[in-house]
Amino acid sequence: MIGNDLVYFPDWKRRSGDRLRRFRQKIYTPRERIWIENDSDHHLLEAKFWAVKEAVYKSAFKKLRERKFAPKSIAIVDYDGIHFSVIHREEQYLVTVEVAKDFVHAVTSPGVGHLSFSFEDDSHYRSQITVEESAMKLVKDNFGVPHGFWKNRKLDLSVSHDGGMAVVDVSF
Amino acid sequence: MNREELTKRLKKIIEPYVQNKEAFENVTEETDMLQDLKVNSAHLVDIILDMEEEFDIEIDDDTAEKMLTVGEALDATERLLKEKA
Repeated sequence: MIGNDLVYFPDWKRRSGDRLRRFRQKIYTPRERIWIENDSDHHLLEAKFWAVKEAVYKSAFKKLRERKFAPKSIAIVDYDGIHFSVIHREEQYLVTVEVAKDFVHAVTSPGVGHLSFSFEDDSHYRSQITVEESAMKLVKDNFGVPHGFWKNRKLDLSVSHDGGMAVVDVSF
Repeated sequence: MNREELTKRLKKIIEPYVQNKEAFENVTEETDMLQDLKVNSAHLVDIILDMEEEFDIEIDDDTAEKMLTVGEALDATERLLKEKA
């Protein structure tokens, strides 16, 4: 199951001092905090970690259907800046992160095929997008999880928006 | 502090982070801060930090993970204030 997240990076530079310390204590494991604090670009690394956790949460929610705000239960155990290995509920997830302009985009390993659509106006992604010249309808289920319907196929997808931009990642 | 006063102070904390202003106008205890008010999930942490400062309480991870609705946040705050008294 695919999960994604989009983070508008400049927002993450706003916290500082004691506020930043308390913020990090609430969401990162001790090992993640050490990695962040020792990184030369610590704000960027924490934004990446957050996007990774959110992407895994969305992926896991599709299976577990459990709403909880427990970011430390999604633990990053290894990373190289682009690829992140994560453990959640004894299950391993691999997440890929890219940085473009002011945005951090994370997506869990989506399987055989993957398409990513980004929209500079986040109101445009809501109802349908075009894939290979055919409309794909986006419909949310009772849990608020979006699904894609394209050429009589139901597709696994994940939607995220931040900073006025939206991204839709589709698994084929 | 009664529930009404607590609700007023909590709404003041939440307001700057709300993206769905219309939903905020009609907020109830069942209102979900992420889904209904469209609070960015990272800002949910800011709300928790603001609550700790406003009410001089400490919200631990177990409590925070159940604070998704306005009512759940009020329940947690009431309990922590009672424990502090």
